[in-house]
Amino acid sequence: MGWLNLPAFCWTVLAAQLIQLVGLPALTVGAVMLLLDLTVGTSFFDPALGGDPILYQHFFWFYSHPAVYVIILPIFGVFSEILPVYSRKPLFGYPVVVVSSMIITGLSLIVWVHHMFASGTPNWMRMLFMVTTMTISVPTGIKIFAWVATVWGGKLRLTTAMLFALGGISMFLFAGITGIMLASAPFDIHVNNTYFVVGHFHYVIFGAVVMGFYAAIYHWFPKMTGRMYFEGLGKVHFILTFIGANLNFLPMHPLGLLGMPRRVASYDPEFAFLNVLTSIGGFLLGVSTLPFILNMLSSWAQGKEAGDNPWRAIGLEWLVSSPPPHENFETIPSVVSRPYGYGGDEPLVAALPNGVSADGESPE
Amino acid sequence: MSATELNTTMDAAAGAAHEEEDHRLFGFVVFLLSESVIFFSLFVGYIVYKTSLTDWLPAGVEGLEVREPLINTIVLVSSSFVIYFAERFLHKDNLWGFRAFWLLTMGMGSFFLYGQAVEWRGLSFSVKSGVFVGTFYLLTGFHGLHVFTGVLLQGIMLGRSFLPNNYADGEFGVVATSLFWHFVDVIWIMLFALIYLWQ
Repeated sequence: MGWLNLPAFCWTVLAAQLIQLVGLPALTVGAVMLLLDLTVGTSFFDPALGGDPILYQHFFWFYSHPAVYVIILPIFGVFSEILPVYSRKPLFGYPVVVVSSMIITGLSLIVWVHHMFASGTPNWMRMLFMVTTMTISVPTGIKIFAWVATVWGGKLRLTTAMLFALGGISMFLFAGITGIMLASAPFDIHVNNTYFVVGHFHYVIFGAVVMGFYAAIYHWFPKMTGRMYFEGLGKVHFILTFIGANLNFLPMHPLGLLGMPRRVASYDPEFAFLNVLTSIGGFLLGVSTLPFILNMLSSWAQGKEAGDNPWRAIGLEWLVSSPPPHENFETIPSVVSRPYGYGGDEPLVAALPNGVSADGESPE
Repeated sequence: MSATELNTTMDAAAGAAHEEEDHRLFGFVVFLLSESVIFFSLFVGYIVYKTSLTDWLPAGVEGLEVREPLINTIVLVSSSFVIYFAERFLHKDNLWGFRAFWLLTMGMGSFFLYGQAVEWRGLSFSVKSGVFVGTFYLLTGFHGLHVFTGVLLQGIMLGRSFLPNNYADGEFGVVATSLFWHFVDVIWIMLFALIYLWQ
């Protein structure tokens, strides 16, 4: 298997782990210095004794901003895996999508100060990190365009997994737009420490990541358990989640613009209406997990047998039985073509394990 | 399964086994990469403190003595060459040559640690006397911990060299220990320049 035969998901996991490798040690250093401050009495971060608390923020954010990319990069991979299957088209611009993941990895290490625009940061630093932060929207924008182009003109099957992927991408697009707004230092200082930031982050973490998680669970559920889930319950789950999430997190943006601060237990009466909307959305999200849990448990126990490849997907995991046997393949298959060969007739692997058809598709 | 298919799959399996042969050294290099980010973060922290704080040295302290640390530096840097020769001897299957130079490396590493301990004992300040002292102990202590680990690893490798057939499966342990030692050495050169030369 060559590097450009790897599924996009593997690339995104690699990209995320590279961030862990380079970013995490900085947090370790900050934590060790903090520990020494608290135990043996050094004064690295104590301004009363000549220390510099801002340096701790640098150590913290040098890792903790890239950490968000560690969370979301594999979800980008999930979107790139799922869309081609249910659109019956190859992933649009696969090599570019791969490269954009690696660019995100590189850029993620030079944007951290955008969390510190209001920490007495000098202006040249604000300008610099404003530019690098906005640059990140280029590779993520490339991904969004590639996903849209993949779906465009495809033979769509709106299964639960596909619905969650599409919902996740649209919420991520919204999160990206508020992200560019926050990258701008003047705007960021204006809404600093308000609910606008909370809303943005929840659109990233719930809108993109959790929706992507659900999409992945539904997509690979037949592979993991050998049984199909109930499509109807899945769709109820999606509708409740999508409405609940937007009702929960969208009002946070106007709340933030109106000036409601984050990290406080109560709020001014003028914010009551939007907060009630948010609460209703939150309860809806809570309720939405019930059909999900019911679906997963009952399907696992008594769902229809799934077979090896219920989605007629192309990929190594779909060439083995469901659930996969131990060690997956008796002999390691050699992959000879690009992933996502939908609509083509190139075989995925050279030597077929256990007599499966080359492209995983049945002839139509 | 036909004979040709069987051949293809067996070739593929053989190729895979070959690919899996030695990823240990790669893994070790990845580990060192992660370690260098830790040291790099500490260095950057030191530079930020040194350039931004006004009362850098604690009251009554003029600066650090450079002479003994310089001797220590020369010993540690030379030990990197000694361990290289030890490795060369092992490559030529001269086990006793390897052991002799390997032991010499351990001795030089231990001398460095001893020198460091003597220096720490002779200092007039404690860990609580400000940011400079904190960074000094953090950097030299963290590095010293690595030297100590290096000497420990060398001890294990020396002991294992007496096991029969120890090198039948390659010399990964020795190569990795030696790589670690070079890494610790390079870090010390930067550390010495930052703390002792740039005062």
